[in-house]
Amino acid sequence: MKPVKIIHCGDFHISNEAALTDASWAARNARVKKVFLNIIDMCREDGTDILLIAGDFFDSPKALWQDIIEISEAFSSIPGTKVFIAPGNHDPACEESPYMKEDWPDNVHIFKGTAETVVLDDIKTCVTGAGFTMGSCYESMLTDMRVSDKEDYIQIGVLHGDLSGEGKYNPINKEEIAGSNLDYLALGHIHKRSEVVKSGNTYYAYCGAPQGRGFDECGSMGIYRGTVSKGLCSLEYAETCISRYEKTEIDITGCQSSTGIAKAVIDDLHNKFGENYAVNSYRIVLTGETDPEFSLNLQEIMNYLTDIFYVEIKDMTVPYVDLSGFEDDTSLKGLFVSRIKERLDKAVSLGDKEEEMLCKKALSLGLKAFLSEVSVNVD
Amino acid sequence: MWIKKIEINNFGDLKDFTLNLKSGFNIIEEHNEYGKTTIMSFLYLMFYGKTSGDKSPDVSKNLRKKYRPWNGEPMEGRIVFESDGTTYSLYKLFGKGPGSDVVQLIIPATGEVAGLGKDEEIGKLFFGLDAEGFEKTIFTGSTGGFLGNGNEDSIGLKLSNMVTAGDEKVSAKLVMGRLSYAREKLCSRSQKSGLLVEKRKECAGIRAQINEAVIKEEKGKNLLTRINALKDRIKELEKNVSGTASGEQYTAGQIRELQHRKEELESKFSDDFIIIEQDEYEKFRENRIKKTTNQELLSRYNEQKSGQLLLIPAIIGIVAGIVLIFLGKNILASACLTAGAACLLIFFVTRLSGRKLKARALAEIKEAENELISFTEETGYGEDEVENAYIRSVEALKARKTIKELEKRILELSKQSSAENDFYEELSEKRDMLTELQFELRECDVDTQALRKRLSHALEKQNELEFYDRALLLAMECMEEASAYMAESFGPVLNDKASEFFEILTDGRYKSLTVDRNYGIYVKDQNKAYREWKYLSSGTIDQAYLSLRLALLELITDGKNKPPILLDDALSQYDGRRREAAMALLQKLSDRYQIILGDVKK
Repeated sequence: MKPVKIIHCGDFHISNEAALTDASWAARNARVKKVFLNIIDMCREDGTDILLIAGDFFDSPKALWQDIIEISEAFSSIPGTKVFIAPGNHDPACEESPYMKEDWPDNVHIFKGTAETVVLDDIKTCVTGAGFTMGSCYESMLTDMRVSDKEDYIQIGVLHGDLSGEGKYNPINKEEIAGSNLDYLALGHIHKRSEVVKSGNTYYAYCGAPQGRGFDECGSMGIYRGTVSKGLCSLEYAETCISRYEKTEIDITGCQSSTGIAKAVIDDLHNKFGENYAVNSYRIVLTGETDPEFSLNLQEIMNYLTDIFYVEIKDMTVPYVDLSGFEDDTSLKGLFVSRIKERLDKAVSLGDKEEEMLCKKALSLGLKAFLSEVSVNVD
Repeated sequence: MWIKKIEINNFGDLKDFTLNLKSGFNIIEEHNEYGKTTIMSFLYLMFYGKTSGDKSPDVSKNLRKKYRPWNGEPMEGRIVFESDGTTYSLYKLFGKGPGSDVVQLIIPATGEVAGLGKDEEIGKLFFGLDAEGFEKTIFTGSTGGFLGNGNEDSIGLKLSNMVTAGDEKVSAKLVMGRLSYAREKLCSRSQKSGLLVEKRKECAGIRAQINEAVIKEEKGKNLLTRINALKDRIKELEKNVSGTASGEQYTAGQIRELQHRKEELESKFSDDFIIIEQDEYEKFRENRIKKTTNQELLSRYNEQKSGQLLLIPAIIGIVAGIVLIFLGKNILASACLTAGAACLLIFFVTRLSGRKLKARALAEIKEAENELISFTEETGYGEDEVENAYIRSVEALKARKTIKELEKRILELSKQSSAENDFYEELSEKRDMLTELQFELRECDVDTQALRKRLSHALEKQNELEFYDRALLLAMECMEEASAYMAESFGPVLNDKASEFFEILTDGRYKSLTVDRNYGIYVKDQNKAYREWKYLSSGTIDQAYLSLRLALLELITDGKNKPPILLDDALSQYDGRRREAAMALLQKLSDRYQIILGDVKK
């Protein structure tokens, strides 16, 4: 039997009302739509038979009409691909949901509640799915899921659910998957992808979100694509995010100016994330030792990093102070340093890293206070 | 430690300049623009590549820029000094910054090159002081003193700062103020505003939302259980009411239809319609038949000729018999006579019986007619109407039966409808309840995950701010300790030393110079009256300043290796007597320190 070509994606979280009023939301929305359109292109180029969208396609049931139109047109542009959407907790098929509208293209099927099966005779495949009808679902949708009795057909399932087996987001478990008689179960809800694994005779995977939306979704984000045949699954991960979220620490020891720090940051990001580093979003922790007389100005540094899509910086630098040089210093500064040093030495001897960091920060702030106003470097 | 020789190849206006010095008191007494300040600055830069004015855009404070030779050649020079009995030669070729300086420190006696650590300052190595400490104590540059300032507030501040912080520009109060100000940005004294306070409020708010959400979730679970039970009950009820949601309307429609049919029938056969029962009708018919039959019978009797007709054969027979007798035909005659007699007999018999029958028929007719009259009188129908009336009666009876049946069905249906109504009432109630519960459930549909995510992010920020707050508190605590220590231990010693020098410099006019716990500076005059510094003349303030500097130096450099004291125009504000006293003091100090005093030639 000929295997079917599938793309398994989900958790786009397209379209949020905030995009109408908030520029950062608008940018975020535009970015995730671009990712979606790239996936549509992928379907066209691959000649994908089935596009599985495992829920939370929209960020809320109140999706913006212009987004719905764009998405609908995109689906229409791939008539050869059957699209199956299993609504999730963010975009349940409730009364006001765009899913309840009649005018979705013919190649789109939306699972609007309890499990149902669509038989695709032309490719000898059955697609079974179910969808959220409200923001929570305490009972497993897999319990009632019955695959088609067409035993020689490839059986594919699509669901939005929580594999932890508990909670209010369609709690499912591996035993249920094993008993599902599916060849592949495409899951959505968890934004970090899992590997394609097997329970009983059923392969299953979370594809993760195709585009990160915050620093809790760092690194590469994408989809699964490949083929499913009777009892066999050959899917590969494909990165689709056009901008990553990354957390990184950068040692700026030796830098003595905002421009110098900005350059060190850019060089470091370039080395770590390649030439296209500027399209990503970064949460940077500056570490290392700085001149105690140098007052690190985060806003000024940020002004030199405006080419990067988004940057957050946290200052965890410590001043370079030759503490031994203060041993005989009986000035106020010397006495201050010696008081801090006593505490620092104690923290080091006790292995208390937190206290050590605290002493270093107190030293840094205290020394700065001798020179100028003290700023709190928290964005 | 003392400086033996200064060789300036190129520094400011000085080129190929050499100055030999002695270990004691050196006075460079020259006219303005000789280069006294340049020499002092050269010494500063030789000992410290990095100075406090390096980052200043003011060229007058940035020594490296200020003394860049106008001829464009690099700054270059050498000094020879002795420390702990060893003579050193220090050479420097100045670059644009300390990092590009070429520094060479050698011991000429052995030719050994002294190793220097990365970024190690010569001054630090030999004086035990960094550039800041150097400026505060042994180096009194023309820009570092109080001369000509005239601003008493500023002078007082510098004095108190120097005493308490060892830095004439920064006071403990100022440092504490800066730390406190930074802390107040995080958390105001009233604890009502500040970044940290706001963040704590935000976290508490999100926590409250999460608690509320958890309660809602629990409520949601309970609601869901109730909803599921309700759905099951609704399914059951729907089965009971004709299996469809429109069963109620169906039954009512049926009743209405039956009622309609009943009313139609009732209107067609009104209650005053007299019904002719079948037996009555049959009796009526019998009477009619009886009457008719008897009338016919009577009529037949009346018109009957058959009896009379028998007379003819009877006569013929008798006549013929007689004739035949005469003819002698006796046999035949007897036959004819017998026949004639028989016919005659029959005629009489018939006639007799006919009369009887006729009478009976008349009686029958009478009886029938009476019955019929009675019937028509009872029913009100004419005899001719009875037939139709009976047909209608049959229909009416049938209709009444149907009406009864309809009534029965209507009753049944009404009962059913009533039962259905009960179901429907419950169904409707349950459906309303379901809608209500589903609405409530929707209200309970909160995204706790998103809230927890928000809390985690906010807590991260709060922790950062808490960290800053704790660090600021620690810095303040240490600063207070340092300040208290200084006031309690170092302060009295400093006061004693400073008072000693101040009494000398003011020629005994003031007995003491005291810095109190609140950093106020007081002097005690000969009358033992304390005066605040602001009542002093600028010259006296200068003397107080020098006294404090020298006192600090005595305290800081307690070891054997005393650094040289570099004073540039430090005595310019002094009057003659105090100048003499100062020179005497410096002379006395020159036993322990090399003193290099730049003084204006008058």
